[in-house]
Amino acid sequence: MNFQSIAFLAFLALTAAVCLAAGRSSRRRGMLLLGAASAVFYLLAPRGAAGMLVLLLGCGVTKWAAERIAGPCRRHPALVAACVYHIAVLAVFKYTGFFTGGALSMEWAPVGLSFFTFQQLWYLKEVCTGQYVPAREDSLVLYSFFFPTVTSGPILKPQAFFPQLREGRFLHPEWADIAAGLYAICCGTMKKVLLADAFGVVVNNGWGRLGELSAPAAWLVVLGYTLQLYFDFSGYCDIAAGSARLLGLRLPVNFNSPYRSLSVGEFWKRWHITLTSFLRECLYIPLGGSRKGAARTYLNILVVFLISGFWHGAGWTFLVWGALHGLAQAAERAWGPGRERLPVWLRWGLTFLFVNAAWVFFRAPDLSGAADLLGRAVAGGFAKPQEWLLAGLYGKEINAVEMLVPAVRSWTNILRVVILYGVGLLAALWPRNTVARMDTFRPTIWRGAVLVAGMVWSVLSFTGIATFIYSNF
Amino acid sequence: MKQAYRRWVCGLLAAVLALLTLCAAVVYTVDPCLYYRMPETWDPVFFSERYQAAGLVRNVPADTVVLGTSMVANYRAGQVAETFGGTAVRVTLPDGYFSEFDQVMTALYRKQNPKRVVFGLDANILMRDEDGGHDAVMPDYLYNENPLDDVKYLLNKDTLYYSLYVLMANRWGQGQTLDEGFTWDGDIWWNHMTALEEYQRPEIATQQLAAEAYAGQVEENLQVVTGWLAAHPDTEFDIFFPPYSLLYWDKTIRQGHTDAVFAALEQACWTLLRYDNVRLFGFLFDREITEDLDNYCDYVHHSGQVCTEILQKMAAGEMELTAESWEKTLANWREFVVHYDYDKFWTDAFWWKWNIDHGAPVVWKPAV
Repeated sequence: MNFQSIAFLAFLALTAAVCLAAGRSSRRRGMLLLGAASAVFYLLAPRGAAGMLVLLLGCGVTKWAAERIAGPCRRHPALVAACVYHIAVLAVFKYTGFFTGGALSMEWAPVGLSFFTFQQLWYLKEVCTGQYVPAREDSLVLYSFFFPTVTSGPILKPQAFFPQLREGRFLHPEWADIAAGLYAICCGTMKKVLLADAFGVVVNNGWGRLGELSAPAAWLVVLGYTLQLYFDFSGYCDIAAGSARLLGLRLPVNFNSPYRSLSVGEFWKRWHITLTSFLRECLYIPLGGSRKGAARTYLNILVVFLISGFWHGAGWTFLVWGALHGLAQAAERAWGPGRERLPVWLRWGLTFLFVNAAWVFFRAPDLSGAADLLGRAVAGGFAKPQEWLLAGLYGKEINAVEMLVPAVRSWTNILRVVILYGVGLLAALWPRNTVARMDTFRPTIWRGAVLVAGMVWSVLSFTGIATFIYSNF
Repeated sequence: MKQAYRRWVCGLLAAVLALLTLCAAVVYTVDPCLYYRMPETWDPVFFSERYQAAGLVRNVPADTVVLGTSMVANYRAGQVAETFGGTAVRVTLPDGYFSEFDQVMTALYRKQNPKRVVFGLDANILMRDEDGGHDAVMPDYLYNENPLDDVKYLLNKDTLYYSLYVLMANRWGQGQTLDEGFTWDGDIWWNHMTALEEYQRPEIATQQLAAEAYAGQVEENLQVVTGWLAAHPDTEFDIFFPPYSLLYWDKTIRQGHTDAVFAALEQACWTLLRYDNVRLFGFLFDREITEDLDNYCDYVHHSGQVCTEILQKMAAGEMELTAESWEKTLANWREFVVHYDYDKFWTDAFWWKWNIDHGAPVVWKPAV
């Protein structure tokens, strides 16, 4: 069930109503109902039943290992066995094709397997290091299948989830929580439906006819994907955080205005924060972090980002994307404080340019495709962007405007580009992230009016909307 | 403060629900896809075959249903009704796939039980793989039995736009009739020059495609049709091969597909003629129509005049293939198309003579 669907909104309303009502009389009953609703949510996904079996088995392995570890340890056999199991399952489902050169490949993978695997590993690591002591009433199944996070995260640390289940707000949200939750759900839905999918139209048109792109058109495609990916995933995270808040739970911030970053290192402190935290705590630090000299630090950074790239997709383009980010951060460290003395606008510009260029590899079907697009961006000539680049962009909206105000017909193309990219850049660079704004949210009529208009437009646009990009990872 | 949050939440939800209800009410009332009813106070406007076919088969009472790809788009329901008696509706799915026709037929028989279905069985789609890549998407929510997902029709910016469009078109006097909806023969110059200009003559292939190359796809596609035949024994199915021009055969032969195409046609004849409620017509083998390139706008699509001719021939039982005749008809046609002189279509002298024979004024003479 996609977040951006009427079915999900109905499911969310029903789940919230039932769980909150049950939670008022008994928190335990409410939690059981929330677990049941999460199971239904997962079962409704493609091959949900089979996927659920695989993930339940994984939960069983995690629980078995956690019970045996019982306290701080380093290399407990149960921990090693559970980690090997989780990584093996992920490798079989996701990387069989890559490792066998396509000779063998799995036709499907359980929905959310990548996120599930990292969350299980994080849970085990926290238990093993004594950072988290499991309680008897902890529901590992709810932690793993919690419906707002099960498909694409954020990846939850156990201490960011379980203690909340025992606190006052869980299933007892205040009106301020509900208002903030609705605010995030509306913002996330608008980001996904009105912005991300609109950029997706331009991006897909461009990638479909790479050889014909002029340089300005190629840059529209490159920048379009940068913004599409951000609004797609951060929109998803906003909806997840909003849904959780309706149930009285708080999810960690996963995006903190990443495109404002002044360095690639800072970018990774703001982009997919829970993944970065996981990789830092579970991989970078165990590898030695920055404690073993400069060369080893650079190597560790590179290893972490190569693994991050490979986690995102089993292909050379993802490895190159990861390597680029790893090398850029190593280079920034090697440069040292000298970089800080550059003007802010230059640091921002260099970082944003690098991130844009690197996303080309993330989106490209293969390395030559990425080289083609970057080649067009540099040497594609200065002709104005072709009209077909905008085919299908806000199609019906533009038709309606042209029908009602025929005079604007000759301006609609330029208006579409200026409005979409203008609003997109503004929304990505100016306001604080939605999840942070939830904590200081104040209801105003103006905010309400914008959200009502945006939400109605989004709901009317649901039919025919693309799935979240990150649900593929 | 608690009250302020509460009021804001209730106001937000109420406003969103009220506006969505208003949008749904507009779509329900105007009903641009004709899904709930045929309009009485304004004329329908036809804008998308796949979005409106469900409404047409649900809400237009029809004794005869004409179904097919763009090859049947220019048949007028009025003419069909005149030819066969009773009422009629024509439903076209341009570049349609058999799974899509099946959805239409399921929706049709859910609402009514026609006496006759006239189905244009294109040679091209007969041999096409269902997984070959659908360019257009059927709105499944209009064809299934689930009333809950009709919400996708009611809360949909496309249908909201078309509701507005229908009202504006009627205001501008641009409403349409069922007869003329989705027809396009009036916009085209039906002439051998158009046909030849739109035809890209392929290079001669060095290898012949094996006769059984399409057998799997053909069998799969025919299973859909035979499913209809078996499920509705009281309906007469008049299935016909639409008459592609001779340029189609030029293409087939040059590409080396002759054996495969004839094998597919034989498979279709053999399969379909085993059913008692089928009449099969081979207009694809009608030299009178296919040789006259002035009937065409490309290598397959023919004029509305040909549609009229076909209806008359069908009613008179001409070009009908029977269990006894189909093999001989196909063998004769193969003999004809294989030995036909297609090159003449690219000579000025041929068309000079053709124009004279067909009464065109002689304004030039080709150099000899």
